[in-house]
Amino acid sequence: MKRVLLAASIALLAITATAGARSLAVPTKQPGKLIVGFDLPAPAFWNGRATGTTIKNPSGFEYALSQAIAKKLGISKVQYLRAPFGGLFSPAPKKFDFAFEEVTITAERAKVVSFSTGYFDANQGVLIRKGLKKPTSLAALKSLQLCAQSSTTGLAYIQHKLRPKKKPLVYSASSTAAFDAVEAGKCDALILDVPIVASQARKKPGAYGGVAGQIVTNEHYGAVMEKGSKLKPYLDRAIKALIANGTIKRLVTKWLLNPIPPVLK
Amino acid sequence: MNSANGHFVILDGVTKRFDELTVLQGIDLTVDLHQVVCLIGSSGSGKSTLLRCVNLLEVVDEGTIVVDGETITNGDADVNALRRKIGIVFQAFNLFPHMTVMQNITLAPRKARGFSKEEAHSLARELLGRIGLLDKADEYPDRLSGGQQQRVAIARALAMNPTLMLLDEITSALDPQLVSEVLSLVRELANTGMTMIIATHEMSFAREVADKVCFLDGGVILEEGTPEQIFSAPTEERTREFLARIIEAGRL
Amino acid sequence: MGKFLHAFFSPLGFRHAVPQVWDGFQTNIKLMVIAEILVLFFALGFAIVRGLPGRATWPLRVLAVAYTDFFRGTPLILVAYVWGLGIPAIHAGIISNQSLFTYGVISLTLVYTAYVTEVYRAGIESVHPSQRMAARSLGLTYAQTLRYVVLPQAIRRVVPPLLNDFIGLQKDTAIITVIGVTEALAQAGFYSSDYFLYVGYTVAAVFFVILTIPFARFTDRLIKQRELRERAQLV
Repeated sequence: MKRVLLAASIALLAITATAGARSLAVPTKQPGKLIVGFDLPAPAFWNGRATGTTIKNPSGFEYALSQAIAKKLGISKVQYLRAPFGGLFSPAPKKFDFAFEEVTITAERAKVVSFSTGYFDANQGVLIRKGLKKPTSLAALKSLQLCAQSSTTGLAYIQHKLRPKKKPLVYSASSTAAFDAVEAGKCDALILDVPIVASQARKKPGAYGGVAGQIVTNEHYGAVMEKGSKLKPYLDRAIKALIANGTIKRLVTKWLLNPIPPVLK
Repeated sequence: MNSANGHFVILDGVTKRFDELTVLQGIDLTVDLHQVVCLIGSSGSGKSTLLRCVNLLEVVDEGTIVVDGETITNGDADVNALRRKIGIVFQAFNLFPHMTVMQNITLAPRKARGFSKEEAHSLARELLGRIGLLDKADEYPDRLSGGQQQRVAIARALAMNPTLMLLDEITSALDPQLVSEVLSLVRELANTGMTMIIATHEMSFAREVADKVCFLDGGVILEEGTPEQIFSAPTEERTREFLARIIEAGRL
Repeated sequence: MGKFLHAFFSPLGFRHAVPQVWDGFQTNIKLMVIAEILVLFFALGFAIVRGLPGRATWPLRVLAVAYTDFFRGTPLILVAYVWGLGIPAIHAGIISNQSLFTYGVISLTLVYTAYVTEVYRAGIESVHPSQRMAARSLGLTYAQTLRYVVLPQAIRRVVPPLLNDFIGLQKDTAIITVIGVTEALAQAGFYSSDYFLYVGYTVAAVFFVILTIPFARFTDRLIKQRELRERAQLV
């Protein structure tokens, strides 16, 4: 009996020691604390209210994912820091450990920041205006007045892959202006990350014609880190574990895509 | 301490130009300690400029000026030290409008001579008492008449205990009835032995108080002498013309 | 029309938006107060440098002129971008490691110091040279003359244009939103994306107006007082 108890307590000690050791070993900017970057608006990814440099009452897909990752890394303290999207790809040192800002992994961006392994398949979604006949193929998109948000992969797709007849309307700053344009009928369809358009369509059902479909672009969202961050292997391991055990799929269905739009070919 | 010749102020060949205009041309003038020298002449004859050269408000182009044994025109004179020894009063009073009479008078003694607040205040009160304006000590200049402002300006200059006073037409901007109160003060100063150079239009006063009168015309001292000589028996034609005009205007 | 009114003026939206936008507006107030204090001091320094006599100080004067020319000519939003995005990227030690709020203060201060320097200069030059002449004649040094005679008169005169520039500064704190500071305009934007109403912007506008109206009225009153005093002196 004593032997069993001894063995059990040694095992328990070992587990807690490694858990503690794990959190100490994780190379965050401030030991024992994880600083996660976010930006608003990002409905369904980050809900809640920004205040000062942080966020109140947070919820949403990326919020929930960051909490799950912290648990996987064995870190109990998580701080949320507003990191404006416009400054993410500057060579400046980052004040966060990693940032979840619906950022698509690209080779150009990877030159200035480090990405985690992908945590979400970032297809482009097609949000159409009310009254438009639903396009059912990529070819049908070519004759529409499209719009996009500047510096996004959606815009890049339109300009380099799709090459429609009419030049797309481009909106800077946030996505709100682009959504307004669709609602006002100024453009026929907005090409933007599918979860973003899906959540917007869900929020304001009467304003748009719905999500006509998604375009497979073989792109993925990755967490943004300082170039050469030592956190990368730890983060990658955590993300892969969460994919493997189905956590991410569960969070996607809960917060983002329900139902899943058809793929346009 | 005088120079070898015993003169307190020596101007030697002083020339001053403003762009194309030559305002002073080869001025030679001496002033002895306790002497009162009056400069007369039409406007533009250079009287003000001459005074302003003596305290280095203007820099001469040619010639030298010696004050109390020190040549002030050789470029390395301590300007501030010189100006502490020389008091100047202007036609436009130039009191500091954002300060009371008391503050106007005590500013320079406190900041330029390092007097304490109490020392400066008692000095100012004494001066104001002597000129009969003690009750105005805490007033702002815009509440005083022109004559009172000018007397305060004189007190402000005297507060620095100068050894030489320069008075630049100090009654020309005053109403006639206020002129005499200012002139009385100047007369008193002269009686106490203050060395003064006075530019003035007040001929009767000049006649009464001056030891030497200089008539300036076109930037040159045309004639120089005792008041009797200049006013009663001028030798130069231009002097006579000038005095005739003055007498016609009823100012002599 | 009804939609426009609803989007910008919905009363229920107002009630919701006010606390959120107020949360951000406090940042605008902080930006403004700190920047205004810094501007008052730095601009006075530049104005004094611009007026320094003598050949030895010529390089300083040239620098001061270059500064005012450059920052009066460059849009505040560009200056904000350089500081908010550029400076952190050059890895220049402590300078690159400040908060976005600090960079916002720096941008506002750099630009408005240039404007206010000119205001001070105009004030200094409006003090009659005879004042300087009288002070120097008493034996006061250049610095003493500036401190006790010229500046007190100059500053009193330029309070209205100073206040005008500060009203401009107060409104321009909204521009700092572009570098990611969570101030009133940012909050208005977040509100609009959450609730599809632009009421947040209306609320922000109201806050700004409430802030600047007292300044504007105060300035008017000062100008009127000065006019009355000058008219009385002529009489």
